Amino acid sequence: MDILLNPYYLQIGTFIMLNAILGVSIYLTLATGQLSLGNAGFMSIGAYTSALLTLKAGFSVLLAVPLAGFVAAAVSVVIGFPALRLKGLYLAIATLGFGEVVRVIFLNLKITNGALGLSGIPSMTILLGKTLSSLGLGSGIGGVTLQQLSSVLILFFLILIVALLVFACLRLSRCRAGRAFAAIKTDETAAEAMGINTTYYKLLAFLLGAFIAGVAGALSAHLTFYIGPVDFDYHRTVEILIFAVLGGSNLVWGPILGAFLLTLLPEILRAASDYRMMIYGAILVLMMAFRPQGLISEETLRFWKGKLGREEK
Amino acid sequence: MILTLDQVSKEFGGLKALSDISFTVNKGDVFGVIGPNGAGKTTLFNLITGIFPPTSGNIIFNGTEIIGLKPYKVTALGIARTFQNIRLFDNLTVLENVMVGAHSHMKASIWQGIWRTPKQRREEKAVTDRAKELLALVGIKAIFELSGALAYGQQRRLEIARALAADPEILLLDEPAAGMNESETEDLMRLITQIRDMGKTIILIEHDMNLVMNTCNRLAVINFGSKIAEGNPEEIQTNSEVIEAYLGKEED
Amino acid sequence: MFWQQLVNGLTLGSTYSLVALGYTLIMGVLDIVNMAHGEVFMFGAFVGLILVTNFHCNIFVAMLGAAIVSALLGILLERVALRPLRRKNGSGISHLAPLISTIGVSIFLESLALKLFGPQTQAFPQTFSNTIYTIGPMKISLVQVVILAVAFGLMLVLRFWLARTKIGKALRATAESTETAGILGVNTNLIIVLTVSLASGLGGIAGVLVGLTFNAVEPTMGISMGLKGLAVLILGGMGNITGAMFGGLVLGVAEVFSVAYGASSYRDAVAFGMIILILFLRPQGLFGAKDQTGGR
Repeated sequence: MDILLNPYYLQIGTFIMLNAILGVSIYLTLATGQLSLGNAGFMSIGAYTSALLTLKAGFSVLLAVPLAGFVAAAVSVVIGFPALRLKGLYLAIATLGFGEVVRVIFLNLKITNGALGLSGIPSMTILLGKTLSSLGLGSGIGGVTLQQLSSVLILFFLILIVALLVFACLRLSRCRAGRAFAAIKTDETAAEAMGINTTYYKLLAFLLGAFIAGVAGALSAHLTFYIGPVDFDYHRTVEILIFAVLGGSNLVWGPILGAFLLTLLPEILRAASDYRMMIYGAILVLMMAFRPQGLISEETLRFWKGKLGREEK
Repeated sequence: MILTLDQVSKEFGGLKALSDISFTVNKGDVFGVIGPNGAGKTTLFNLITGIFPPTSGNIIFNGTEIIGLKPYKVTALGIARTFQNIRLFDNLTVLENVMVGAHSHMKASIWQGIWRTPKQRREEKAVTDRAKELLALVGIKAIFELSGALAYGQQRRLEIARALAADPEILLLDEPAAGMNESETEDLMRLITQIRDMGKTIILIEHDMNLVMNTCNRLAVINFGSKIAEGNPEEIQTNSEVIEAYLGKEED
Repeated sequence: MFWQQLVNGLTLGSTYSLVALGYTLIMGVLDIVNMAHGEVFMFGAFVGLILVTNFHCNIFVAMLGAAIVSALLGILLERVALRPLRRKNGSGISHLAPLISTIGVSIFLESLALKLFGPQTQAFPQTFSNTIYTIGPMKISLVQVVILAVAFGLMLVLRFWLARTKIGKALRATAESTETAGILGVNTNLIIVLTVSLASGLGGIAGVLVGLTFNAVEPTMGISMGLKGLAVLILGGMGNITGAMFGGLVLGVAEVFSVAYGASSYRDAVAFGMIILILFLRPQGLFGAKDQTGGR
């Protein structure tokens, strides 16, 4: 029990879930064969929007977070629309530039407090604690303190969100839109010849990815009480990219595995943390050379399904 | 008449791929487009399906000008195609490939797909059943395999099933018999006739003359980007210009 | 004031052109965007710095040294991160593989630079006297003259080389169609290595020139310059040499004018703003061909 409630482990668990959500955000765009290098930018839009809505405009966290997602999605349409009519390369470059511009803008705006960032952001854990208190659980349950209870419940909440995303992605892969995504990813010209409005679906995937990244950003703002422009720079985007590249970009399980591994390992291998970026760079190069589909792919699933004797209907 | 090409030309940079091509395809035709390699036949298909626009000329389908329309709109209007070099979606199963073909006739949005609304479930079932029918028609049994796992001849037939799933009025077949042996080609001939009997119009690019002469009721011959002859199989077989194009001029 | 800013803009822009040329050459021959090009540029700047401060080299020797090291870095990059990818053609994101691989190289190199040189901005020593020349309404400093001379000189030589020499033509042929060039007897692997070293070398020299312009080098200059080079690539038209040269100048002038007329802290955003604008209005860039941009 004590291990589970150890605040350090709870925190790691929380970060794993946040990173998993971010991983899904880039997975969706990759699902149409497009590379978005601006997800840190959408994340920061979500974070700042939610932080400002709750800090300055008195919005409740429950409302601010999804709103922040919508704002990120709206912005994504502005850069997505011109770029997605063109080759995949253009989106990569446009989103790269976008991420940088968002960072520069937030660094310079008064309302975002520039380089100092925003602090004192309403914390979800504390708010939950207050609610539980008012329900009479002020001193916790059993041997569990209020603080621990709140933290555990928040973690469950995040796990729920991840589960929902996984559910949605699995359902997606079995329906018309999901098949369209997969077709576009393999052969965009053939997909269009089959009657698929490729620009629409690419934009849709991109928009969904931006929304999810925005929500992840908003959630992280309310979990860490402080955000600053440095948290959302190009390195963050590359980190998110690696979740999908390492874990697997063909199935939703891939980025989740990638997020899990890459959040956990730096904690375990403290000694190597100095070389983190170099290791990330090497991972990208090696994965592309030896296993571009990532650790988990369709084949992996089929292999294990076969081994476990389960058959397709 | 359902498809008319009117003085269609296409230039790539300085290269004139097609010059003033005109012909009309009528409902129920099995219309063959033949000619030596590199004559511009696939370019013709690409123009009709909207992959790029003609440099000049017009293409009219059921009274509507279709030049300038994006390919997915052309497909939705009722023209579907197969590709000369197979372009299946190898990350999808055989069945899913065919279901993609039906995309333009389906209505389910992404939201309905994720939540599996009753309407969406009905539509999925209908499309799945139809896809299975089409696969049975073309003779493929391993419908849950990834499409890349199929043998070459089967992949070609899968492409046809996928195009049929779009329920087109006109089916464009680009060298469907390429790489097939004699018995496979015989099966293909039967399939083409079956498709015609389903009420579809077929435009066929092919090099296999036996297939062409036995399935097509009209032919156009393209050489170096120009149409050099048009007519029924007998007329074409006895046309001296055509013979010259294929075999070269007789030495005097 | 206007003329002054124009001179400043053209000087800065000429360095952007050199960097963009590097992207363009590699894009032409390998059909990919080398996302690590900015880091190659940055290493060139540091090599130049080290040669000038530690080894007391003449600035032009430093440029040569920077070019050589950058070229070697480029060759290494091609060998390790790009060549293994060329024989693959799987499904899924394989067409993004070179892009992702070079992103990996870029963050590896940036991290390496941080380790080797430290994160602080280092001063690039004043190499030229503060002589200012006056031509009509413009004042131009000696440093600016040198930068413009080197940059334009290199661009002219490149143009000539591509158009007239045998190797230059072989390069253009390979850029047009690697397969055909190979059939016609061109040693395409050699040309590719040559192109990458040329492109990287130009980037290295640009690094020294930028060091001279701002009297400063720091490890994160690679990412910032990398992005601007990409903006010029799109502005000029992907793979278009003239476009890269011209586009670089346009970006440089635009940036300088935006600072001069009030938007100084958003300077780095100008490049991005241009990308978006061009994508909306004329995706093929100023000099690109119309058909280039659609599909995959």
